[in-house]
Amino acid sequence: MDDYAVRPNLDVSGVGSASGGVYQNVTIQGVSKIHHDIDCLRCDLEGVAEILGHVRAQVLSVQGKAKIQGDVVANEVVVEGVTRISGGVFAESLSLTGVLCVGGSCETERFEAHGMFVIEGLLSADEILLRLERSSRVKEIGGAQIRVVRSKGSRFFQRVRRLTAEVIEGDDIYLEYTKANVVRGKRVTLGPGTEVNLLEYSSDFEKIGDAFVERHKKL
Amino acid sequence: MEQDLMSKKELLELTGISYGQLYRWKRKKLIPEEWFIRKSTFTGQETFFPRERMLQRIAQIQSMKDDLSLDEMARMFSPGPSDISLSPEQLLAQNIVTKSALDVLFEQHPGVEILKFEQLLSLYVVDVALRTGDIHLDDAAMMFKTMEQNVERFENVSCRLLVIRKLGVSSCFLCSTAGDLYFDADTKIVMELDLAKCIEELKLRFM
Repeated sequence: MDDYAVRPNLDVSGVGSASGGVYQNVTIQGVSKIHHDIDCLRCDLEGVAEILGHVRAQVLSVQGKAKIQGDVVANEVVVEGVTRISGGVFAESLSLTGVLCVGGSCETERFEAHGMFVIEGLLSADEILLRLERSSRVKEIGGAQIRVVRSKGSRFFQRVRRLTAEVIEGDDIYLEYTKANVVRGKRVTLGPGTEVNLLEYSSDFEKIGDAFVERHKKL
Repeated sequence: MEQDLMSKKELLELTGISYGQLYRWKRKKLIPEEWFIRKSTFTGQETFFPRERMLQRIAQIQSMKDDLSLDEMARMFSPGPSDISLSPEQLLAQNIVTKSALDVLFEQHPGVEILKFEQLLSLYVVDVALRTGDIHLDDAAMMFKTMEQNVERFENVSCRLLVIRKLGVSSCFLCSTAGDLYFDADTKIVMELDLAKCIEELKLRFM
């Protein structure tokens, strides 16, 4: 089963549906529904795809609109379109330049976002870089390096480029335009537009601009 | 079940590990999800851990992380079966099980030469149980049979083994770790073993 060479490909261009299964490459360029789990090497969703199951792939790339009613287990996830995943995401790296909604937690080694995201569970990664574009929401963030910046560019949506989180925990944290209930870390820098209820840090804390901290204590 | 809990802050302070390491180990499944216990405190939700097991696990990870990769460690800590197979003689020679546990095995499988992981685990659990001195040899045979037939159903799910006794009659069963059990007043819980812990101990013996 692990021999990718003998697996068939799945190509949907136009309107179609498939029952899912084990494939080598999955390419969807039209409108399609896949009724069960898929396991493949490369999964390219370029049209409108709905997958009623889990997705396991080496590379998952979404350039259209995708709805996945399950977990995503992949090596690399690239989201350039609109993706809604009801389960969790487990990957080595995730890069986002579109819209991502995750119903569970998102566990990757590297998480880079330049878009809008809503994660209902924990966002956990070694390196987290979030460039805010519209208002994003995460329940909890945990990792080693966490950097949240407001993206430059058009001033039109600037006011709504914010991040809301309940808890942010990491070693090196830099936040901008973020509202969080609790922030815990080793070295914490709060940039402009941050609002934190409780900050706990163990080595350094720096405040830039109009950052607001209700209570902070050094451990 | 009341257990001694420690907060995440306390854990980091005591062990000197960083948030990054803790989250990395959690992602790699070196620390099981069930150990992250959420409780609400006056600052909102906080995470707590079972103190003893967590400290032990962190110490293990720290001592092994120079020799093993995170993935190798994850395999060791996972409750799933591993590809270890051994003969009964090797087991005795390596001091993993005692002679009396082996007798239980030979009673059911006379002349068995190679043990699969499930059997190995069953045997190990029986041995642990026998060594406590709380169960009879008959109970041990029953335990072995129950374990051997059912343990694969709990693949990747943590479960526990209970031996109960009422009016001199023993019974044993496997159930998942989640959920409480209550018995009538005459029933005594003779033994309760956490299989995830047993698997971990067993795997450690082969390192």
